[in-house]
Amino acid sequence: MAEQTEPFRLLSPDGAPVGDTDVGLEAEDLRALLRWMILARRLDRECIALQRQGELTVYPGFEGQEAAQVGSAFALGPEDFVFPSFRELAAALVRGVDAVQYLWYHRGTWHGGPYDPRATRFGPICVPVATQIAHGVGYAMGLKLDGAPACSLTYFGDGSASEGDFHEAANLAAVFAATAILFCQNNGWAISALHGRRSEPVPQRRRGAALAGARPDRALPHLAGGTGARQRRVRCGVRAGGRNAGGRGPRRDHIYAGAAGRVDFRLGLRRPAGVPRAGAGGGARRRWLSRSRWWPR
Amino acid sequence: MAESFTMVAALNAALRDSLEHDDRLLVFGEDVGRAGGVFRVTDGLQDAFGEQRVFDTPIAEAAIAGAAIGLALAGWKSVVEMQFDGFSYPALDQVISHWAKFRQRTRGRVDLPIVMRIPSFGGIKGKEHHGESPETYYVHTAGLKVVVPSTPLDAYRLLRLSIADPDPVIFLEPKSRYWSKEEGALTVDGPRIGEARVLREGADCAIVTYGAMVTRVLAAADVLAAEGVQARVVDLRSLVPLDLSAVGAAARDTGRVVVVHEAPKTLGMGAEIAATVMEEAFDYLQAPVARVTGWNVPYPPASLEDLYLPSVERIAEAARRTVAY
Repeated sequence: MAEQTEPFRLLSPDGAPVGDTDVGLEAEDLRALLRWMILARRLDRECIALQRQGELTVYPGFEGQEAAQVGSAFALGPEDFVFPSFRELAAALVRGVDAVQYLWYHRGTWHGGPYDPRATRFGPICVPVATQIAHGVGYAMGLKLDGAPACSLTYFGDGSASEGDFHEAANLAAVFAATAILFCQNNGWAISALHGRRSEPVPQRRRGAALAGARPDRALPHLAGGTGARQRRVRCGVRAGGRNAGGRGPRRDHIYAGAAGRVDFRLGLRRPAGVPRAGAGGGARRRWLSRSRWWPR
Repeated sequence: MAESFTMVAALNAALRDSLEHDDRLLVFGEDVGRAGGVFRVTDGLQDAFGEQRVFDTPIAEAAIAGAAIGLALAGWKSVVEMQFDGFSYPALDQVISHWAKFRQRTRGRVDLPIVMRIPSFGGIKGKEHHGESPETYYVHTAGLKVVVPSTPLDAYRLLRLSIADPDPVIFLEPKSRYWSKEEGALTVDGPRIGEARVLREGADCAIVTYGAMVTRVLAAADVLAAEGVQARVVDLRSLVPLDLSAVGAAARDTGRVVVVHEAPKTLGMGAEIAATVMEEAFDYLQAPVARVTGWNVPYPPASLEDLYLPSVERIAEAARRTVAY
């Protein structure tokens, strides 16, 4: 992947196509992507409500990160394996994880991965930040030993990149040329020195580990970045740019409200700063889709 | 005449035989490949089994421990080496947060067949960070098995058994016994993980220990025998699972128990053994359980090491007091 510092865009904020937008997807795939994103947002809002009602324990919302998760997970093949942190419910849905089993975790029924991580190829939920990155790299090392044409994809947040585990795991991936995609979602809520106050952003830092990198924006570039990484079987550090509208955890009501006005809607679904509109549609993506040859007329 | 093995040779043979027996087994860590390990335990394995299966890693203990989890999910078994006890701590987060919990967190679905070998304990006049007794950290973490061999033949057996185990095993190698020798055949037959062994019979008291202290306890038992005191010597081998029946039987049969270990006294295995004896055999006790241990201080410099480690005389004296109580 080419050296990039600016986000890789296929879609401008007003919905206009940018450059060559043909990423090799059928109309059916594009509709599936949009469906997953809308479904994920609706479920996320439901989970926030369930947490407020006391039906779920701490629930980490992901509003604003749907595209990063759906696009990247959609790009994976059936033999690929996902190592999530604790905020990847949208990716889990795409991978076929049963939402109810997944939410047993947040309901306090069981720790870790109540779903079957082997059957779903979606690892247990991982709370100690950055520790899952080495798991993803180890899995990719195993794939390489088997000569398997697959990869691992590990999600982590921008804050995780401050942990030593990130650097150790990224270096390990480089040393063993493992087919591991390290997928950083910078949702703007890193604990606790924010992006820009620390060393280089992740896409720059991964150079230290001699990894390929990309900085996609919105779902289709996530998909393009993901498939590109897979097809070329390169080690790839990816940083997604979506901002989390809901904040770090469910107890930060003030942050939730305060953040609503500056949401960067990766999904292209602009939510009013007032009451959330569940399952909202429209926006830049739909406008773009309606202009494209993929959208049914 | 039977063949004689050092503990290093026995461990090397256990790895070699396991690698031969199971082509999904990997051995990796710092300097374990080309160099053959600081203590030569992995000597020649890379030549025999190739760089794919026996390989060097960056000096990154957390990544080594974490990668073993991903490898397990990909169907590989791992024996990872921490170069020294004092350098195993960067991996603790992976071991405590993931290794120990993985089976439960996956509702029993996922095996983690991983062994962490750690050259451990003092007695070699090492530098600081090279003589630690980390067993309590692991013993206190539910979900791990913790074993400590004391002799070459048992080291072979325990390592083979640990590698065959579907759950993570912390394998603490008493580095001061690496060059000790034992005659006999290398075999996995014999006591399993979770079973202690009685190395000497005696009715007057029981001395319970493990690792490098076994040799000193046997020497103390010889001293005591010359004085007319017959001590049973129990080598725990397995700290988790702990052989409650062997500890209970030793207490019931003798009524007097001494526990010996290198680690500091506070919350060491001695505390657990003493409490277990209370629970299993309180009515049989003729004397308080005695503990002979390292002191509650950081592991000392080489010149003071002999004052720190339980000596044959300290062990014998504790047994005398217990028998005379």
